Amino acid sequence: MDNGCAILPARILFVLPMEGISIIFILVLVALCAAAIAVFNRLIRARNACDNARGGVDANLMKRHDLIPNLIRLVKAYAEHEQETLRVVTRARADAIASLGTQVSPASEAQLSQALKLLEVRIEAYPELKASEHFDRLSRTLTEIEEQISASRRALNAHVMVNNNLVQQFPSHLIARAAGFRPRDYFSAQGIGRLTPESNGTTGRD
Amino acid sequence: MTDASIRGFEPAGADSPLGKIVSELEVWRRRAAKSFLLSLLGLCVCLLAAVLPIPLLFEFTPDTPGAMSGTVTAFMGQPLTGLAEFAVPAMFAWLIILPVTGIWLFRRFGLNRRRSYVHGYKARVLTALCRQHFPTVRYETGRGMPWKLLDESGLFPFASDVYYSEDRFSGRWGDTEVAFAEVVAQRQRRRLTSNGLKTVTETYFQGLMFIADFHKHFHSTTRLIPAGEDGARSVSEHPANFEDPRFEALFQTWTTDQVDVRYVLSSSMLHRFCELNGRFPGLRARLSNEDLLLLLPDGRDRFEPSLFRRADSSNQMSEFVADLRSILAIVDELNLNTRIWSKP
Repeated sequence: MDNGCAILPARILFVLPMEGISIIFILVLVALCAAAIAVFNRLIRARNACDNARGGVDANLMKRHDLIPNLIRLVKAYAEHEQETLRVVTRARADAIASLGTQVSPASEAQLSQALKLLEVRIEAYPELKASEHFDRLSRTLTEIEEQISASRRALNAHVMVNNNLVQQFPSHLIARAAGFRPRDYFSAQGIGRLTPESNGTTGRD
Repeated sequence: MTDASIRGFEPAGADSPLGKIVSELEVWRRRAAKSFLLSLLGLCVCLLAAVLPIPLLFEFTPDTPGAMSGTVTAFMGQPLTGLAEFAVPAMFAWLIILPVTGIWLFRRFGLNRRRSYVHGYKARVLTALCRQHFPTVRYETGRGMPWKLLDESGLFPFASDVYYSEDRFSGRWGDTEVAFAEVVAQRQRRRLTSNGLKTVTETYFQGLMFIADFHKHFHSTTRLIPAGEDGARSVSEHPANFEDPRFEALFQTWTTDQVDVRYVLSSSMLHRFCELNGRFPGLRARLSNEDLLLLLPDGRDRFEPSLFRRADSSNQMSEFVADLRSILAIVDELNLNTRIWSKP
């Protein structure tokens, strides 16, 4: 039985050369189509993973944006002379919210981080504020969110690397080009700011 | 970190609580050592008495010329006739009774007394050493880690057939709840050899099981397994790759959440795991339910007092303190005491 099966293609080729070649051609074509579909599906999965990870980054950034008004309110209560610094932070937050999900988002987030760093330096002059329980809780939450931003950014970059490899490597790039897949941009860190008065210099570097 | 943990080991004075304990134990140790040596001597005498006379007592006549075995035909030079024929079974009884008696004596008066001294020493001295040097940590006499922790961790692709755990310590180190114990896990494998199917017992893990409360909130399950080795397979877990090539060369990571695992294993944490792996090559870790479980392999049997070292030996006690300190240092090495996140 096995021997019969093994010699069948050879017999077909010998007896009916054209039909045999056609069958082989069809089989190769089917295999190529299956491979192309598999690559296409992988590209789709990689792109969706990037979009999903990007959504995760934005959600965490949004969490940080939502926390900043609480911080501003608290600082206002203790430090009346820091109106200008608070205005800078508010403006940077508004820019960051406006640019969320766009190409300029990393730059806006970096600006917001810088504004928060400035605020952190200013807060050093208000020990009562630093000692308050509310501020401690807020700064812990902010540190946690910033760690989560960092984690989601790393996850996004890992997915982007997989996507870009697929889009740029042979032979998957043939299908990627034909189907309009493009390499994605990495989400750069650009020094996400911290507000962790209790951390003794270990800020976020857990 | 407490002051006591930073200080070096201080020998116990005779009037201190530890000093009184070890002076009592020293009396116990001497008795146990004497009993151990005497029972060992008894065992040797029994074995010698059983074995030595054999060639002198019997005369063998080969059944066939050139054969190795033969029939007993004479006892102490006399042909075996009448009652003398009972001498042969009597000698076989002698051969069995003497070694059995020797072994029983050794176990009853040697090993059991040694074991009871070791247990007594651990219960009293390790407890006192913890109280003196690590006040927030306590020794749990006669306890170990439950076998379920190992088998359900998914850090090995098989369950243990033989499991043994002892010398459990638990408590709080800084802001971190910790518990650790020595663990030995074995599995039985069936092997087809030229003599048929054989069951072989293999020790696949011997070392420390260390559990600590992780310093961040997280919801995922993550397993770290040495690169190239197997762990249990789980449908909900996927491999995670990190940007640290050293970490990638040492570990393979399986997780249920790609973002959460990066929150838990930050860049600096990856580096710390690499450093810890230098101390305990082949370490495995599982992060779940906001706890960190570490399996730290090393072939050492810690916290075992020697019967032939004085109970009040400051060297022995300082070794125990150094071992405890080096284990608790894992908390600082992984920076688990840094609590700058919302988890208290």
